Amino acid sequence: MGEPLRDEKALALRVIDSRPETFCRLVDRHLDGSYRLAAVILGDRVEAEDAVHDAAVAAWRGFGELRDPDRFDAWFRRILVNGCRDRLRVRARRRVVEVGRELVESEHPRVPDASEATAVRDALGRAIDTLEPDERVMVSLRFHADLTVPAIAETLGIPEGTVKSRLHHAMGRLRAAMAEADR
Amino acid sequence: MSEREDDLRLERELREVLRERDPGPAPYGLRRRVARIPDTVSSGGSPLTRRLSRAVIPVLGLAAAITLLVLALPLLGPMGTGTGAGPSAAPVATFDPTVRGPGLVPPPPVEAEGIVVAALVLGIVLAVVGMRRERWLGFAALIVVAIVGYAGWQVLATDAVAGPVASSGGIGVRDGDLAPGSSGPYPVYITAGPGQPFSIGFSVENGGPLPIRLEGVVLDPNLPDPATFPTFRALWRDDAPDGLTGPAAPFSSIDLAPGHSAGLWLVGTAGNCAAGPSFAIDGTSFVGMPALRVRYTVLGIPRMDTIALPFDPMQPFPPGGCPS
Repeated sequence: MGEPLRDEKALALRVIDSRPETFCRLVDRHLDGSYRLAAVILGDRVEAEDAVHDAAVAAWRGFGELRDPDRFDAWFRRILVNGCRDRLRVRARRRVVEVGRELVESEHPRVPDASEATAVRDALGRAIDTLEPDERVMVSLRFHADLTVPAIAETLGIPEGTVKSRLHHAMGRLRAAMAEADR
Repeated sequence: MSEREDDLRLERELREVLRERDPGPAPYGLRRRVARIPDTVSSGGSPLTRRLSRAVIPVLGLAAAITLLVLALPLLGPMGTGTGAGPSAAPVATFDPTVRGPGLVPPPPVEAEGIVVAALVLGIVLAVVGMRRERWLGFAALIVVAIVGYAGWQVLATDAVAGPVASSGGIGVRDGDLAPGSSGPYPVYITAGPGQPFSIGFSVENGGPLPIRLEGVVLDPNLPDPATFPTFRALWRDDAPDGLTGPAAPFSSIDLAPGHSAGLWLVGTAGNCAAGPSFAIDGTSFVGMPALRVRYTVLGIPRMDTIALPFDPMQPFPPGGCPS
C-alpha cells in the first residue's frame, strides 16, 4: 500500500475514459497492503476482508470526487481506517463475550509458554486487544504501516497533538503489560 | 535495563506482535469481490450531487437554528434594558361590566419549557450529525444553537407576577377583614346578586428579563357549575395611571417591558345562589374562585403563570346553602 506508484497519476487521468477499469487497477495495487493493515487493526481476517470490501465500495461511490490521483493511496487508506475504527467501536459497544472460548479456556487452562519472549508477546497481544479503538488504529498505523505522526493525523483527520497524546497513552498501557509479563 | 532500552524493546516486541497478526497477501476471493464492485454498485452520482446530499442534514440544522434566531432577534433588542414601551395604547371606552368581551383565553397547547427543550435537542442533534459530514456547517449550527439556547434560557427566566397595584376595589365586591394574626390574602366578598356582574381589579407585572405580550386570563376549561359559582365573563384593561377606577377599554393584548405592569379588570357574574349584598359572615358558607392564571408570550413562545393576588374573592351563599 505504501510503495510509490510512478504511473498512478497517468493511470487515474484515464478515469474519464475507463473509470471502472482504472478504479479496479488502482484498488488492486493497494489491496494486499489494505487487507494486511485491516487484519492487523481488527485482529480478524474474515472481518478484515469485509472491511476492505466495504472500503472499496465506498471508494467506488466517491471515486468521482478524487481530484488528485496522487492522493488515491492516502484517500483509500483513510476510508479503510475509518471503516475499521467504526467496526472496533461497534464491537466495543456490543461487548461480545466469547462464551465458547471462555468455556474452553476454563476447562483447558492455557499453559504459559516457557519462552519469555512468547509470554511478553502474548501479554502485548492481549493488551492491544483492550486498547481503545482509536489507540489500536494508531498503534497499527505507527508500528505496522510505519506511518509518521503527521501521516497518521492526516489519515484520521485529527491534530498531530492528539495523535501524540493518544499514542503516548496507548504505549503506557502496553509498557505496563510488558512489565507485568516480565515479572 | 534503562528506560530507553525498555522503549526500544517494547517497540521491537510490538512490531513482532503486529507482524504475527499480518495475514499476508489478500486472498483470491477478496480480490474477485472487489473486482466486481463497479459492475454491481452504482458509482454514486456526480461529485456535486454527493456533496449536496451530504450537506442536507447540516443545512437543515442550520436553517432550523437560524429560523429560531430570526424569530427571536426582533424581541431581543429591549432585553434587559427596562425601557420597553409599557402597556400599548387601546381605545378608551366607558367601563361597562355587563359587556362580555375578549381577554378570556384557553391555556396554550404547548408551553415554553417543551418548545425550548425540543428546539435545543433538535438543534444539537442536527448540528452534531452535521459536524460529522460538513464540519463548518455543523459548527455554524452549533453556534446558532448556543445563541438560541441563551435566548431560551432567558424565556424560561421570564415570568408574570402580581403587579404593585393590586386591589379588589371594583363593583359588586366588598373587602373583608383579615383574620387576626393572619398574613395571608385578605377576603373579598362578592356582593353582587344572583347573575349580576361584579368586577375585581388587579395588575400584572413583567417580572422577567424579556418583554412579554400579555394575551389574557386563562379560562379554566373545567370550571364548576356556573349556575352555582361565580363565572368570569370578560377582561378589561385600565390604562389610567394609579387607577383601577376607569375609564377602561375592552382587553386587547398588551406589550409589557421588563418591570412594567398593566392594570386589569376581571369581570364576572355571580352564581344563581349568590347571597347578594346583605349577608352575615358568621354562619355563612362561601365558595372561592379558581386561581388566576395569565397567558402571555415571550419571544413569541407561549407561557402561562398563576398570579398570586393579595386578596381572595369569595361568594357567599344564602342561609341554608344553595338549593339544588
